[in-house]
Amino acid sequence: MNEHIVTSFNDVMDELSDELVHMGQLVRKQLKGALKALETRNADLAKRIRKNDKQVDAINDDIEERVMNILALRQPVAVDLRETIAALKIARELERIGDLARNTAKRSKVILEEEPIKGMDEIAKMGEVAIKIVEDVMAAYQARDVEKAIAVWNADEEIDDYCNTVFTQLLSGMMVDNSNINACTQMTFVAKNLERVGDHATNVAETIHYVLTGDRIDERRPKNDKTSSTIVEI
Amino acid sequence: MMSLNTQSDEEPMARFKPVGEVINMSEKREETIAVQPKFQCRDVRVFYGDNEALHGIDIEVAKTGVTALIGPSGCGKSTFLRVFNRMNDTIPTARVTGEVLMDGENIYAKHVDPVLLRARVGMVFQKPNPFPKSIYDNVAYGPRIHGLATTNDELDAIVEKSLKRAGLWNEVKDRLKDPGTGLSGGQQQRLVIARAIAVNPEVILMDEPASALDPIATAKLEELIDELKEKYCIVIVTHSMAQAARVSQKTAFFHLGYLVEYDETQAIFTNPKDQRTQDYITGRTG
Amino acid sequence: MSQSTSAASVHNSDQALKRLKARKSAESRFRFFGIGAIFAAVLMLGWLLNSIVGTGYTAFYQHYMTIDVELTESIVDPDGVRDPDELRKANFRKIMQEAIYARFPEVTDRKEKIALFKVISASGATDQARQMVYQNPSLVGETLTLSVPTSDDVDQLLKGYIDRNAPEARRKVTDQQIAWVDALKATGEIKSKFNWTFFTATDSRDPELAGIAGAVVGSLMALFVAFVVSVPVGVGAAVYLEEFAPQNRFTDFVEININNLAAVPSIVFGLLGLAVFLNFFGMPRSAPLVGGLVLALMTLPTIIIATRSALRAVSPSIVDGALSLGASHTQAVFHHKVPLAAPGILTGSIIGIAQALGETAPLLMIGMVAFVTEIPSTLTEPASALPVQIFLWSDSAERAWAERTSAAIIVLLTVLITMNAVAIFLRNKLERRW
Repeated sequence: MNEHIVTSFNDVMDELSDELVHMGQLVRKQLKGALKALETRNADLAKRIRKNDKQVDAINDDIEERVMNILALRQPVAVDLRETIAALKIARELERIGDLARNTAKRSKVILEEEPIKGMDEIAKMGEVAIKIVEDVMAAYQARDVEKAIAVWNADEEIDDYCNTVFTQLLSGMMVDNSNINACTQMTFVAKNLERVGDHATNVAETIHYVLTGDRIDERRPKNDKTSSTIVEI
Repeated sequence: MMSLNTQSDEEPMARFKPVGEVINMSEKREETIAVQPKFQCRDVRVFYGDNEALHGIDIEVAKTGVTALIGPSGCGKSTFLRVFNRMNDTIPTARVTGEVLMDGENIYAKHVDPVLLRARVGMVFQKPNPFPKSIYDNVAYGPRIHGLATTNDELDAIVEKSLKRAGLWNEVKDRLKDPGTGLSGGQQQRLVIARAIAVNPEVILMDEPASALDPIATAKLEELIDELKEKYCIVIVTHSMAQAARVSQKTAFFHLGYLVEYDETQAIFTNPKDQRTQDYITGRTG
Repeated sequence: MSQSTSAASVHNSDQALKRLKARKSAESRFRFFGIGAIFAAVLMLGWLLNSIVGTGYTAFYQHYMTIDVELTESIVDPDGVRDPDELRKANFRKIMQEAIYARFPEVTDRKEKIALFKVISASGATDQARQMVYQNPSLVGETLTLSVPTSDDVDQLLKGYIDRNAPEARRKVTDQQIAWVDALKATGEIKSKFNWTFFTATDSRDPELAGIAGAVVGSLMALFVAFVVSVPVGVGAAVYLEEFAPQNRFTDFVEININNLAAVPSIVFGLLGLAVFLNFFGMPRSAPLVGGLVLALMTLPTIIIATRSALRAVSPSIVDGALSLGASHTQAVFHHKVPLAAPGILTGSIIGIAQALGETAPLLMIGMVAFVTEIPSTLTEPASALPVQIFLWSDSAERAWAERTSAAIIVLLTVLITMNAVAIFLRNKLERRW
């Protein structure tokens, strides 16, 4: 899509985009690793994930710097401007997802100290959905595919549903058996983290939509916020 | 499907380049200085009669890459540009003091002939000024007066190479005998660049080369500058700060005949050190 | 100033309309004056041209009489040797007299005979017969049919310039001559023909035989000399002064003097030529060479000024472009500046030379005012010049000279206009519209 007469402008825009895609891959890997550490009860992996978050932050800084240079040196307008600003916003969302992955890894320390809890399967499934959403949204970004972005945006509901289920399970589990109440409490936060990952991915999808169409996605959103209602029930 | 999905989890994080490598300005700066510069100016002053137009400029210009000179009108940036090829010599009242070392040799030394210097330091002007001759003769003029070609075939080759390098060959190859002044403004400016390149210079000076061009022609010119900077030392004076930001690696800000700030272009446009630079590039002062 | 009046009301008020009206009437007044001025100029020019052409056009035709001439051997060649040199000296006047008496055998009175002979141009007719016999001696004894010019008075009579109703004593032709001429005219023996003589002959005492050829050739020779001398010198001087001369008091002085020289009256150049070329260098008087040199001196300032302004009009960016490629100053000037200024230089030169063509005063001073009856063949032979010829003729008394003066002016103006047209044509052609 970059056909500027000045090829170096193309280059910096392409590099920015590539860097963001790369950041998406890294974040996805972090998320996957954090969940794997929980599932396989691998404390070393959890530790590594926490450490690797610094890299995510570094890429975020790098993207910020690139965006600033593009704004200062190229003075982009129209689609270039939307791309540039979107890169900044998407990087921020990805950085948050990275933070959530790190937080999940951090919580796994407490979780792993106690016996495995019930409902781990559901958490794992929810994690897979969250990872899929991150993958999809970055695929949509890479392909500049507005339909795919809208699909991701709609898929957020699925995570919300999982979150409700997991919450109910964990709460009822704690009522029955209070031996691993620490782990379960941490696990609710993990579930919440995953739910937040979905939210951030949704934000990315919205940004992609804006870049490609110049319009906000909100106008087309079906008003059906199940997440809040589920949480109120608990 | 997506490159994302096909990637294995175990793939190392080698693809990620540490931020410092890409961005760290201080490292890059040291790198530039380590290379022998094309020009070293020491306490360069230019006088028009008794009026001192430039007050002791010290600057180093790298062997390749683009250096932009910016500043308000009358700040001396064009005067300074003309120091590099001694075009100020053509103004009877102008006088230059100080040292301008080109590859370590003072171009204002007595034994240096400005005619030969100008063959090494080409110049492109604000208004496209092709000679009222054919496109071919425009490009061939420099090689002819310097005797760079002994046969017509050699001359043809120089003309073709120069026009190609200036990105104009495909547009004019079928009408080399047409007048150069019949081209569009942007083409004329690229023809003038081809004309300068044909003499095989080391440096190309540009005095507001895009000020008479429309945005597309400007973009084409900037793309050309981007390509040329790999091989030539380019010094460009521009009124357009946006252009300086787009094409240059180093930017020098002139104000009232003083060199206020000289730094990496990125640094100048994101974090200028001097308040006057900041005020000028942000549009807070004339 | 009060801010109470808004911008809209300032330009909508009655006062504003009044101001607008005043402005518009000033405009139309100016337009009226402009049209008036142009009208006056055109009127004057038209009047001038009308009077010149009106007087002059009749000189382009001339009345000739067809007459049978018997080349009686006893008169032309009494010795019968047919020696051309001897034949030339023969009494052809007698031959022509006999010829015209033969046409009117009824005229016997001696006085009447003299009047009858005055119908034709005596010297014109005899010269014609003489030339024919000289070239072909075998014609002696034959009878030729010649077309000889009528005398200038008869010609003027037939062109209507002599009032037939005036008392006989106050006109140049007698009643009898009018009768003869009318008779000849009625039989077609006197006819009007194109006056080639005017273009092929030199000056003469007789108007019907006078031509401008000598003056035209003299003028062309002088112009050639002027062109060859003044253009290279003028252009060279201008290029040096404009491009290479250092800026100092001396060059300033030279510059001021060149500008002053352009305003010096032409007769002063004539005096200069007289003093320098004739008295000092001892060149021949009345020669086109000297005339050309004087005209060259006169044209020099014009050419220098025209060349300098043409050079100054060349965009300095072209010279900058050449210099920036490493061309030397001389190369930049001669490769780019002078070629680009060439159309202007050429125009200036042609106009300067055209001015010189019309100059009379300096030529009078160096003696190009002599009565010259030969077409000059070299630059040092005495010659006349077109404007001087006009000056000379305009001084003569006979009515026939007046029309010839005007005709010569027409020729001069035609040449001038042609030269200016050539200048414009060359400028347009050479001024490449790159």
